[in-house]
Amino acid sequence: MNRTPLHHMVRIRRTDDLTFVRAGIMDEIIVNANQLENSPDSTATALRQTTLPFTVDPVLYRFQLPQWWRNEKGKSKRNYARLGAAYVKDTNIQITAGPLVETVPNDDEWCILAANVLGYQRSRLLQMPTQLDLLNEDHGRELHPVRLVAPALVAVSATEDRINRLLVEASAGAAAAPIAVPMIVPLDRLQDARERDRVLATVPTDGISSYFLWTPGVTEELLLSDREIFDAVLCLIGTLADRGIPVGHLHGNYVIAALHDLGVSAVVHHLGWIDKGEPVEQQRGGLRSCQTYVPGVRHCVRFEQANSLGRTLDADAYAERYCECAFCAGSFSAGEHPLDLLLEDQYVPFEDGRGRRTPTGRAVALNTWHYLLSRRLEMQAFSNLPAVDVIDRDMERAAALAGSRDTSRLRRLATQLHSA
Amino acid sequence: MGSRAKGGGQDRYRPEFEWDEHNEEKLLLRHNVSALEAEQCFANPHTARRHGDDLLMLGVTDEGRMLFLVYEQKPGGVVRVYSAREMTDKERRTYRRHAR
Amino acid sequence: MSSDRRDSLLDADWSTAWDTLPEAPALVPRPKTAQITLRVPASLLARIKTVAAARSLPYHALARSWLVDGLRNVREPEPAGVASDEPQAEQLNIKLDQEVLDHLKVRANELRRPYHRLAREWIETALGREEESLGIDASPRRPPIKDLMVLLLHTPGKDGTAVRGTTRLQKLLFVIEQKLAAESTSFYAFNYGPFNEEVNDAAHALRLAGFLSGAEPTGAGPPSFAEMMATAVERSGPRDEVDVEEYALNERGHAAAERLRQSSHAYEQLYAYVRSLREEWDTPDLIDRVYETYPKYTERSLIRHKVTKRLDSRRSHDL
Repeated sequence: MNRTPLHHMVRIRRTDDLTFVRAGIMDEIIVNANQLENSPDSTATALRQTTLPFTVDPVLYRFQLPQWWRNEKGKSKRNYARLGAAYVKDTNIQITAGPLVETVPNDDEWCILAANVLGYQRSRLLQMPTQLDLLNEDHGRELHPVRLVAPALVAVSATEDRINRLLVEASAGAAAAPIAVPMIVPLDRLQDARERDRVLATVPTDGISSYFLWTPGVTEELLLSDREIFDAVLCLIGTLADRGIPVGHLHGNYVIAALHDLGVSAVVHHLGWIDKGEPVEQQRGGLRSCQTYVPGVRHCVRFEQANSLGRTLDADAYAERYCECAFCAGSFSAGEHPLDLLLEDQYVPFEDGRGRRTPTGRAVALNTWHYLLSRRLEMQAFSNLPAVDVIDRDMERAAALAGSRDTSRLRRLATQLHSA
Repeated sequence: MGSRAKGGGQDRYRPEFEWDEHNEEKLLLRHNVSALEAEQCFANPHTARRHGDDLLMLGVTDEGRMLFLVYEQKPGGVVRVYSAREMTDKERRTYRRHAR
Repeated sequence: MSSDRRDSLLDADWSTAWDTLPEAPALVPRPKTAQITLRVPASLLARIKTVAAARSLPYHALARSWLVDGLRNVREPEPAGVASDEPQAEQLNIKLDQEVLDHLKVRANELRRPYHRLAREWIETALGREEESLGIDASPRRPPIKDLMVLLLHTPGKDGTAVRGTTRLQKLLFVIEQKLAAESTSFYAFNYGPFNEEVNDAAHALRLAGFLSGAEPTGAGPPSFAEMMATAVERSGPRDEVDVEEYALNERGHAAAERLRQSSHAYEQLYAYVRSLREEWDTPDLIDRVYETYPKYTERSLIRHKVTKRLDSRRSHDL
């Protein structure tokens, strides 16, 4: 049994996420490189304030399909244009001209690209501070990422497999130390054992400090409802972990954290609490839906349901059944019911006369804290106890809060783990 | 053990020198004596005296420039040179009498 | 002991007194290693660190290697050109073998230049070459938006030092940058006229650093309930009117701005210029004036017609 602590990593996707970066409630930050290009100064400032170790996710895969880096008008988003320019320095690659696999002319250029991506991670946050920064006594800490991440493509086919292998080997050569290697396995290849093996063959063992797995489209519900998918993910994790190299998951949820005993060493999650299966492309706009994370049942529910589950609970019952995070506990201490703060919504009218309800800006911020703190407690639980014990306890809790209907998910997970 | 200095055929230790941009530049720009030349005086046959809190040296550079130096010896033996000029004719005779 | 007092010892001829003076203490042998301490401007040290990071080397080691390479080179270093008036506030300590330091002093002696200055010149020369090969542009350009923002928020406006609204902040900084360095502007035509995402980034950075009103520097450990609530307070609730964000320095921010202003003659002048521009442009019709004066930056504006109509109406009224 793997009893080393589960490494808790939080992904920074947007500038607003920086507000929530604090030591003590996460172990490490991973910043998307496009976000770094979006807000380099505020990202650097936030990282300096926290002293948390950080990693830069190069997100090279975002250049695989134009709709992933272009806006609604078909123009390259400025941050992606800057990022792409840094990646293709000293090459003949026109990175925003089309899908990356078509714009890189030969293997040599892939190798230069890999080296550029590593160089970017090393030095982007060290670029010239302003005079104000130099005079600021708090400016001292230099920002070096704690690991370098090899660029990777979504492993759509054998073509991307070959390129991924090349990228890993070129990165290992360009780095002065072992590198982290992402494996992005789409759902269709995940479900086919032979395809899984082909993808596994693209990641070597030498020169690798860690693997990071990602399976776009695989929601937590899918993992719990489709035994084959669950076993496929487990197979990937187990095969990689058997190599003796730590395995992380780039978009981990409760189910993934529960696999700590079976090989998952690190879990990365972003600050949004609604599980969309983590598609590769960036989500565009749209109003947030009125959902909140309920630790008591280990998933999101709509505001109305959350209200019915938790509104009538006093502080002790709430902590025992609904949530014991520092935000909710603090609310009660301050004389406020946490759901009064978390479930605040407003009506937003549309131009066509319709409209919908959405959480207020305040509620979004507080839900973010609540979610982050809850995930932290969950990571700590899986670090300290065997997963089956954590799940048993959570099943009791879910039953006490919501009755038997909300324990079936957790029961399925327990069953799957028992037979894994 | 310090490095043996050239000149004189005698065993002679080179001390550690304290130079910063202030005393180095001043010595060169105001007195036309480089840090190297000042140090060479300590390595080559010389004679040195105490005058109150100051230490005075009559010494010679590798190129044969005969210099009068004002210096200080700090705790640990670190030497800081403050001032220098060419010797007068009389000081040259004194140097030849006393230098070792 | 004052420098002048020691210099005055040079005025006397010591030949007569020499025999009467006690012997100086014996010399103490030097250690095998030595150190050279160079005083450098903070910006130079930052440039060295940037290159060192790009090369994955400790910056002291890199500086030492440049120095050693310079000594091996027959050519003299190429000094950096016009010296900036930035104070040499930082120290760069480089450990060397005594032999290397001796060699440096020999070369300095040959060139009749102070060896500290020679060392710094070799390092600057090598730094310039490395920056070029890495594609790092360290040439002085337009002042950074964040520094301009801090100076702007430090100047008096019509109603105190605050700037109300992101649009006004964007436009004021746009005008300042146009006046300073139009050819290298970072602004571009966007939905509401000239826009630069660096403005938002800089404002956010200042907020995170605790320089803006309503913001404290982020604490290092887990947040308290009060801190969590504070992050929510500035965001809108269901019955709030659309708040116009106000940008103002707090006491800490003003202190930082003052340090910046006094850091060099160049920044003193920059502050005075920003102040005068604010006096001239921070008026109720700022937006209209920007649209009128810089039409190129309003080509993609969603409110261009509205502003044009307003300007036309004002002109015909004036007539």
